[in-house]
Amino acid sequence: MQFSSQYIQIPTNYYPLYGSFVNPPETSIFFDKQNKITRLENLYYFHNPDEIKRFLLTHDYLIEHLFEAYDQIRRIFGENVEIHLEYTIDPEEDWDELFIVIKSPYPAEKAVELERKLFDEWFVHIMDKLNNKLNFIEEPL
Amino acid sequence: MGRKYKNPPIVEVLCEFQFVSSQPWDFAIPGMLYERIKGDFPIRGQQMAFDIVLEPKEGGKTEQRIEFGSPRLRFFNKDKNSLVQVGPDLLTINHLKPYPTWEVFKPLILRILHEYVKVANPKGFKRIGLRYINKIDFEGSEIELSDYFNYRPLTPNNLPQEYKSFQLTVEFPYENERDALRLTLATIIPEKPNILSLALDLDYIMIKPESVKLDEVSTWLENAHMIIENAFESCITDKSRKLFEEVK
Repeated sequence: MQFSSQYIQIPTNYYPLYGSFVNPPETSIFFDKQNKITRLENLYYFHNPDEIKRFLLTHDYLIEHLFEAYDQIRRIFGENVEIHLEYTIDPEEDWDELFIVIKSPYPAEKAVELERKLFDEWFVHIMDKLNNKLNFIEEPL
Repeated sequence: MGRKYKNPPIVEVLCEFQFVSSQPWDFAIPGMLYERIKGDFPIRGQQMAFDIVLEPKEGGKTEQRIEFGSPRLRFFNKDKNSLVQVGPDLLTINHLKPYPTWEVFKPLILRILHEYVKVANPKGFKRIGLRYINKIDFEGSEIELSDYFNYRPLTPNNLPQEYKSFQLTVEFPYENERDALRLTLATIIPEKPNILSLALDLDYIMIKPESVKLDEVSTWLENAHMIIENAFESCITDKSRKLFEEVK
């Protein structure tokens, strides 16, 4: 019996047959990280999932910012947006980064205004914690 | 005494206590515990608890919302490979890689529990869990599971015998269903490209609230450890032992 590498979901909180709780707290540091990355996949469209997941495993300080980002984007842009994650790498420059791509239905002027609002009300307060590994852009839907 | 490995697959060992409280949760408890253990666990951190909530909306649509809960406090040792987590009626002692030995970890569990009991005065245990999490990496794109594991999925012959991801969890009752061993083998996110990563997760839990008394926990832990060790050895083959470099 064989299995191959291509993909790969992680063990989420297994539903226990025994025990009284419905939603047990995840107290494992190892699985907490893996579970949160999987949950992020419910919020964002992962463009290159394997690369994004590996990147988040090694840059785990980004995970909680991504949960917060989802909330902030929905607050400012509303519900009619798609939120994507894209991993970008430039091996020659030894540079890689994760981009939140907000695909919105708004005309350019309105989209720029919201993009600026997101920067002023959220991103500017956390950007020094991101080590230049997370950014965001807005694109038309 | 179990087998010894030069390259053991353990990435985390943890002991989790959930308590039946004798009074409403006092938010001063984490601070009082910290004062007692800060010599060994001086670095403070906080873990936000949150969940993704799906809410039904008009027109059959659902909305995803993030709901934040009470934070859990974490106290790390200087090397940040061992920590204590405290939340409402919850205490966890974790050790990350490199895991010392049971002979070192068990006294640590008992000492932290002793300090918690002094400050929180719980009525008893709602749940106890001792958990060993192993991560096993294989280079390449495929492996023959039966070469490495005696515990593995069994699929009907008329289905493809090659699969990409799986999660196999079985709960075995112990001690007349007072306890259970939750045994999981699953694919996980690998840290590097061209690697297959599997987790072998052995979680021994007391599931009947207050069936183990506060002063019986040392015996319970010893038994739990023995069952986990035996289960681990039963799950793996000699080829895995070779991979982990058994010391004879």
